[in-house]
Amino acid sequence: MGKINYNRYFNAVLQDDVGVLNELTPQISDILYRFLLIRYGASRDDALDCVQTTLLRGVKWIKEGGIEKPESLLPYFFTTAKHELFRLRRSKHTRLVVFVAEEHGTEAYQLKELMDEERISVLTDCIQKLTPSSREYILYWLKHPDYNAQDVANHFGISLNAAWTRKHRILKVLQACCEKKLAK
Amino acid sequence: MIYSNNEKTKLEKIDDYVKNQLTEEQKDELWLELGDDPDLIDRLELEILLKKWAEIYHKIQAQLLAPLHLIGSKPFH
Repeated sequence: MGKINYNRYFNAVLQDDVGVLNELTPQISDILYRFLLIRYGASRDDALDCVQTTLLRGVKWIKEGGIEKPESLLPYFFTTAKHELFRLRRSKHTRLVVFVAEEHGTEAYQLKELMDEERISVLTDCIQKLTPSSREYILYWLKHPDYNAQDVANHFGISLNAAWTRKHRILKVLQACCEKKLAK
Repeated sequence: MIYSNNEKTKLEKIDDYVKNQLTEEQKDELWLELGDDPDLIDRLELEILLKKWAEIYHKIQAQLLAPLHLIGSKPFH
């Protein structure tokens, strides 16, 4: 997938360009969704709620002239999504403590666990499918999380640039393999 | 060349992010850099998953090797 053009989105909101909005809204939603999941450990349900609210607010705010420059759009989206999540968490926190136990028993939570397990299992398959030298390289990198790229480069007798390039190539292969298997 | 120097710097920052070597402020800055590029967010996700995978893998390895270690360290009588 290519890069997302927030300028285009900004102008599409101002001009009510439905075609461009239909094209870009799912892409921006996906970025915000993953931002909340990865950066703040949001549950999938909470993230979906917050993304929807953030986008609605963003569109309204652009139309009202609250966001003057397209460059300010992404920082606005991230900040709003974060605040929405914190607000949602606060509102949940005010309920009974029993809620915590209920939350971990919800279908959404179980689904998240299952999806993580599936992804780990797929990743194991994909690592096994790497060539022996690639597998040795990436396992060495993973086995020494406190090592930096220079340490890895020294161990394999390659340049720093080559160490990054090799890691990048192997992760590209893993990425493609995981995507293919998860799409099945 | 597979990626530009700018992207390489982002990949290095992703590596630091996954290793938890960035401050909260640096994490926010990195997200602003990644926010227009789904491929780089895919990369971040993969690296986080790999870290999780490595933790599980090394835990299992340690569990499998633990009994051997105990046998090896047992004094002879």
